[in-house]
Amino acid sequence: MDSNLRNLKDFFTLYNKVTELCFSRCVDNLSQRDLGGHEDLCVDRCVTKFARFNQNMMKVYVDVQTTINAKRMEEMEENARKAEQQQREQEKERLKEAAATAVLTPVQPPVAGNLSM
Amino acid sequence: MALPQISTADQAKLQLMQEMEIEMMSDLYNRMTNACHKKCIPPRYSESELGKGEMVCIDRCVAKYLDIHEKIGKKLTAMSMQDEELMKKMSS
Repeated sequence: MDSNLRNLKDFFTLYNKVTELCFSRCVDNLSQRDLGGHEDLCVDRCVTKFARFNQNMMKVYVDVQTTINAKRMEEMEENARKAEQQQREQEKERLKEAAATAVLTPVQPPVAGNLSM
Repeated sequence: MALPQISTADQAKLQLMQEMEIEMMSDLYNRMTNACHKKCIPPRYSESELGKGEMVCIDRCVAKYLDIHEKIGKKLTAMSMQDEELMKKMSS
């Protein structure tokens, strides 16, 4: 989906959610068909507060998520370092074992019949 | 006078827009139904028919809900325009 269309859809979904939320919180009696003065004021404040809440929420989320991402990157780098270190040590061990095996293995003297002239 | 030809890409975008509009209207209707059911139908089902009071309540509820929907639309549009202007001022 096109990003503009995606944004529009998100906006409309938010719009519907805000309507539902502010209606539920601001309409306390249905004794008349029109919005009362206090209801109108309540809806206005509700929308503004929701928008401010959304902005604040986004700001905090971005801050916290950035910190979490940085920590995650550090952990990944640390794990990569540890894995590399472990690999080096394993390689050293393998080389040591190979050297020890080479020293301990007796060299077979060549059989006379196998020598080519 | 010939009608202007719409490209296939534009037609597809237009169709997506129409589908989205229907989806959003459907979402609005579902939310309104839930909200008005909560406000107007008490959870004691003494009878299966809608009472006169419940019918009146539904009528008022729908009217208020749509009124609020329209007001919120205007408010959100105004706020987003304010934000855009603020962004322009900050960037210039």
